[in-house]
Amino acid sequence: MAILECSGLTKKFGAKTALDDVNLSVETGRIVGLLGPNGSGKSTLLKLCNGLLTPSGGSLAINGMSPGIGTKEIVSYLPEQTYLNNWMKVSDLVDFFGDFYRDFNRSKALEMLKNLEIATGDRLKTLSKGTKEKVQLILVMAREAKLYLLDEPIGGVDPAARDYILNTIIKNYNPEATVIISTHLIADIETVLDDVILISKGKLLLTSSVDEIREKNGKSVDAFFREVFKC
Amino acid sequence: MLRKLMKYDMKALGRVFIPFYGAFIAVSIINSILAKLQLALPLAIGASVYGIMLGGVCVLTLVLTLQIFRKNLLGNEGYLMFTLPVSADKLILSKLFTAFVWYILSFIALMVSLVVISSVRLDVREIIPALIRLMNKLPIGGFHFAMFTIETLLAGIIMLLGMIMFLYACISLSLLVSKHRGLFSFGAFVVISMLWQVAASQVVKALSKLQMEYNIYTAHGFMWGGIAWGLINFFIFYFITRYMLTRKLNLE
Repeated sequence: MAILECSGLTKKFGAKTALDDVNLSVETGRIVGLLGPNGSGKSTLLKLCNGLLTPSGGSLAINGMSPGIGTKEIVSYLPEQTYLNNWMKVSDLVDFFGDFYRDFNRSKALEMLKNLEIATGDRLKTLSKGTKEKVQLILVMAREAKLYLLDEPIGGVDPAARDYILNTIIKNYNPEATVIISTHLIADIETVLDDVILISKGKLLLTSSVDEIREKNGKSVDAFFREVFKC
Repeated sequence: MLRKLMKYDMKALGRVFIPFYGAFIAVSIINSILAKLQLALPLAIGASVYGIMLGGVCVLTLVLTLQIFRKNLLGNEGYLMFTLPVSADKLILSKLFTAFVWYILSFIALMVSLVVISSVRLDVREIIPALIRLMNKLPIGGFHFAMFTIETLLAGIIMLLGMIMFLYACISLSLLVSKHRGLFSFGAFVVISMLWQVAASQVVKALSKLQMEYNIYTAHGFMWGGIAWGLINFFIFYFITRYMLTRKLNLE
């Protein structure tokens, strides 16, 4: 069954078209890389899925529902921005997620925080940018959601933390859930991906399984990407 | 969910307001003591600090209630707030009621401080009996007095809610532009204020042309007319805000 379906999905900002007639279907239980150069419309697509933007045309359904309260209950979203309240302590945020999300697994969050040596008593204000990103990712991954939408989850952190984060994603991954990871750091995540979606200038270029790309082209997704988007 | 949202909004503002109220009341008490002791120089300094804080309460209340809406919903924190499984209505109402509560609390802090300051020359215990004596001297009694009290209270609450909603609508309208959002909000504030003044003056003009007999019942009528006008304002600004946050949302 498709967890995410877009048909003719279009988003315009004034005269600029950010997404142009995207038709897409993502199956349950896959780890999907949403790949494309900067400004190709990856973040716009994820924002539309989260109801942070309204489509200019076409439609989008998550688990058969239009973005709304029902979809927000089952989608765990990691935006590119740090959205955490600076005045809160890490423990306040854990409470916050527990208050609003029924699928939030508190003990899992606390365990991950402990593993990354982040003290729950620390105020967000005192944490470095990278640590804040880790906290955010932990909160997002500690939900037992049906669909995870991760926008550049490894962009701002060091390579060691990057490995931990990818492991976290795989380790927490429940076979019933789908993970969509938007990034341009393909080499780092290639090993965890089942499928890829390639978009460029707002248009869908290709949806394929990673194996298919390797078989057909005889190269890695990273090498394939570099060839397709050669400047 | 509204209760949970308000819990966090109240906390976010409380950590600034409560220490400020504390300091404000403390300065009031120190001033009243200095005045009783009649120490000229410390009193002059104390009085100016008090004056600044008095203005500060008003400015802080306005700025913080605007900021929590702008930052928490339209800034980066909006990415968290708008992906919570709650409706836009609840997000708006939480901000509205939180602001309302802090306006009332700021008003109470102001009153407490004025009572403290005036205690220098006035026996505080005399205030309430004096008010009761004053009420007894009013030319209207019983039923009408109670009605006017209810009407004034209701009008006050609705005007305050309407004013907060107006400010939130101005902030939300800035979603129409991608740059200079603060400036745009301010522009919206000026333009809408002007339009509203013109509309209100037209209503007053039309009313003044009516040949009416003025008595206590028309006075009640005016009060209810004012309440209705306040309610209309409130709902217009509420729906503008709601429309912007649901249909035109575009976070930075």
